[in-house]
Amino acid sequence: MGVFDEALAASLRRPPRAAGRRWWPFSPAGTLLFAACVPIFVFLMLPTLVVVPMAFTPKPLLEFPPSGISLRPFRDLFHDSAWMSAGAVSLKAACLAVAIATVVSTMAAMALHSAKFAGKGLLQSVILVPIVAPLIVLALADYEFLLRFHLTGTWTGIGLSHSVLAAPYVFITVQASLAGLDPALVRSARSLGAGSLSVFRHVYVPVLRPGLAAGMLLAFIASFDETVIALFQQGPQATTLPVKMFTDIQYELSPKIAAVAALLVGVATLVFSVQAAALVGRRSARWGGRPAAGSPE
Amino acid sequence: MGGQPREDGHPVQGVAGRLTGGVPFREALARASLLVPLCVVYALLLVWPLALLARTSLEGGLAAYGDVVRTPLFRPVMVNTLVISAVTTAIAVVLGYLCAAAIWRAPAGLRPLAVALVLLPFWTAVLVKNFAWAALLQDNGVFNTLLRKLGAPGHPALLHNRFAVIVGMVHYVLPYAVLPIFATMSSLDARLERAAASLGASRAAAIWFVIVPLTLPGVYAATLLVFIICTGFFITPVILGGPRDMMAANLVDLYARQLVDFRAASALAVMIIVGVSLLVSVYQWLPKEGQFGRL
Amino acid sequence: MTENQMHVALQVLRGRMSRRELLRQAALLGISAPAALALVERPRAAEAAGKVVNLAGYGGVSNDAIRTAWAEPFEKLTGIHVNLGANASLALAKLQAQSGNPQWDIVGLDGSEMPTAVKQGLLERIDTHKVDMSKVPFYLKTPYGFKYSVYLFTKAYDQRKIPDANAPQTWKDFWDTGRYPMKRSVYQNVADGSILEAALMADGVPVSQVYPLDVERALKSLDRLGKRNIIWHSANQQPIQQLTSGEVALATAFSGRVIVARRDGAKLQYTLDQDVASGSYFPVIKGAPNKEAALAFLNFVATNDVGAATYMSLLTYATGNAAAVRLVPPEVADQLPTSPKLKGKILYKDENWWADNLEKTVIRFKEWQAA
Repeated sequence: MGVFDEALAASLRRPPRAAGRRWWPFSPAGTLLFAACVPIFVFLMLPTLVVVPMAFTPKPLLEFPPSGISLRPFRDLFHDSAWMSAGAVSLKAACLAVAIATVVSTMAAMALHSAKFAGKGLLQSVILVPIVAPLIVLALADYEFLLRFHLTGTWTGIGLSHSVLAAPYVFITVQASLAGLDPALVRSARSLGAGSLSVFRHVYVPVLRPGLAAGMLLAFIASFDETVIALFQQGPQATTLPVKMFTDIQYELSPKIAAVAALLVGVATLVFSVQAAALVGRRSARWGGRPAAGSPE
Repeated sequence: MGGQPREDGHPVQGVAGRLTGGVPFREALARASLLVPLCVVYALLLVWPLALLARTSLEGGLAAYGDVVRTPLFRPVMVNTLVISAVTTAIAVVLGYLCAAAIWRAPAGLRPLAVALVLLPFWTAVLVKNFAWAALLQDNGVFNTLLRKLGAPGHPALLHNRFAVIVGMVHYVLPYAVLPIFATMSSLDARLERAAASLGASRAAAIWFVIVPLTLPGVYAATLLVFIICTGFFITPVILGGPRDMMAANLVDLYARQLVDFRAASALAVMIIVGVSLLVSVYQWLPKEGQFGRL
Repeated sequence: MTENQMHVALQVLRGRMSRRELLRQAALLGISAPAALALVERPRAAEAAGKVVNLAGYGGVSNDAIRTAWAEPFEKLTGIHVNLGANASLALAKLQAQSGNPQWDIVGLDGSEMPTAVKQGLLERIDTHKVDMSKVPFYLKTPYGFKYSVYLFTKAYDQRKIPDANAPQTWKDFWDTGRYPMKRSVYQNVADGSILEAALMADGVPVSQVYPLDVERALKSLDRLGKRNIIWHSANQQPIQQLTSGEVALATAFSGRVIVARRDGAKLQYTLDQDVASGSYFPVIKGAPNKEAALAFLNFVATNDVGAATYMSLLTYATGNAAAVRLVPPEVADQLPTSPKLKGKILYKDENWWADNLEKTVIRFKEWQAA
């Protein structure tokens, strides 16, 4: 059976065209499949692609395709104090949310790292609840809750509400990167006399770093883009960028909004590409034979 | 964590052992203390508000629930939510299956690109997507102009109706539909098809009778996941839909921010979260591994 | 900044008004010269520097007019900055008052919403020692505030697509889908706007018999117009955008916004018959943090004649300070909703009916919309 398996494995590794030269490498069914999927992929990419050219509309009304290229919407945007302060509010709230989420989730992930006890699965499901719970329910609950502390209409309130939303993202990524850490390393470091702080610095941190960075980015975006919770808590000094977009879109589709959208898309693409590049870099590094993360070196 | 080396102690036995997973009590305590901050944050900012929500809804007994269920708005909104979610889920799962299959079958070089194309929408905010669709579907927008050039009669309305909502929602949930199905597909043993072929099955038969049934768990998972996400939509119906496309979350918003009746709003919110929890438990219970276990 | 703002007010009032003329007018009305000069002179050192009043209004040109006529002169005079926001509504007032720490000191409310707000205890009673409402006629004031604006809910049309000769004069015309086979943009706030009253008049109800509103009949009339012929809007500047961009050719709108758009060159017009006149208040929310500053602002609005005249001229809306109509050119004064020349033609919104029926009518309308 082993020989058979090896033969099969070998055949699988050979490129599909080895059997004979064909100028079209796919079967008719395969071609149909890909043909059917092209419109789907276009459909997926369409909004993201369309938004950027729209942001360069020279006219005061939105148009696609745009009749020319003008930086006017961006200039108008940066001169608009309402938009700038909305951006500031979003930024402040997101930083607060990420700070809280990072600290608590990292500690929790470390606590649950290779732990085995009754109820671990349940605890993990509970940690993931904010991602699954419908936002409208959280928005209303947070609003009623913060009302009692007179924190509605403040960026602090929004940041606090968002921290719970952001925590699961950090938890997932940190947990994933900790999964590569052999608990024996921790124990051996301890038995060699390292104190907890040293253990953290030398054993955990190198492993945590990629997961932490990814998690913090995800958390930041989760908070920055969040609309429903921020909508309920909005006030004159606490209107976030998405909330302003939301109210303005219903009012009028203007090039300024397109400019904001294009900026958001730009940032998202950048972050995504950086993540992807980091992922590819890490993979190749591992296969390049560098010592595994977390070694006592 | 005293900073002293842990004694090479014996694993803890008995009940305490089961609780701590066989780990010495001191370490268990250290771990537990690391969990405290998360528990505090969740208790303060998740559990307490939700409890408050439940309590507000119960002010005056179950009257608020009765009121909400009996308002003439309740039925149309709930029907909307179910119908729109069902239609969106159906479309998304079908399209998602095709996408997942295409990615799975894609030559190795194209695969990461395809996956990236599916994942990129994840990173763009729902507002950006809705704005783009609103701009594309508006009366002076690209699609309408195209339709008119192709000779469509009158002024087809592509925005502020059910059509636009479903387009927007399918666009949002499609990546969520693709991923579970793709995960199931890629966990399939690559030898299966060849085994079927070696037993005499034609290509089509191999796919239909062997591959597809084994991908069904991924399909079930995707269906449920997408449906759950659909029921919670709020922004898309507002931006892309009309008053007839009001969904459950919009009704909560109506009660809370326009009629300013927090009791009714809370009652409705509790009903929503109970419903979603039931759906999620069904999702957890679904078999994920393979319909007949791993091969 | 002073020169600019003065310039706008002057441009509107007369072609050109010299300072001497302004002072003469001010003297005629009993405004002291120093006070009048303060409006055109450099701003005094503000003793109340850093103070602010947060006022939620209706956005767009309505806020622009408030800013030009009152907010900016008030800030020059006292140093108190009036921060103007949008989305004023009864719901906002309620949310603010019930939150215990309102962030808006003043939330604009339509006359139909005021009685409900008072009933629900959302507003502060006005201290008449701090706000001098002596110039406001009795039908424009209540213990909780006075009407800063009286406007017309009207039928606006795009002159490029509908020539004046074919304009919809009455609501029945507006409803005529044979004559205008196109979509109409309609304001969906039934309390702040007056679409239900319009629907009844379109159905043949004479102006004098519109109240008490037969809501079911109004909804049936709207069904006859057809939901597919209606685009709903929720912000008051929207119909103007939609008309100028060509998205629609017919819309309900507030007259002042049409006038401002025309002044900016847009080819829009509105018709007077059967328009609905109602007004808005600037009530102070209970527990407002900047209550004293808010009251000072309201006093300015109620007593400053130049500001009142500017507002009236900018939007052709009437205002509480009725005495200031003397400063307004006659062509504009005749078109004010409070002008006796319009008496037979227009419907005055019945705030008492709305006081009793606001919430259930709003819910019933939402149900109809969702059906």
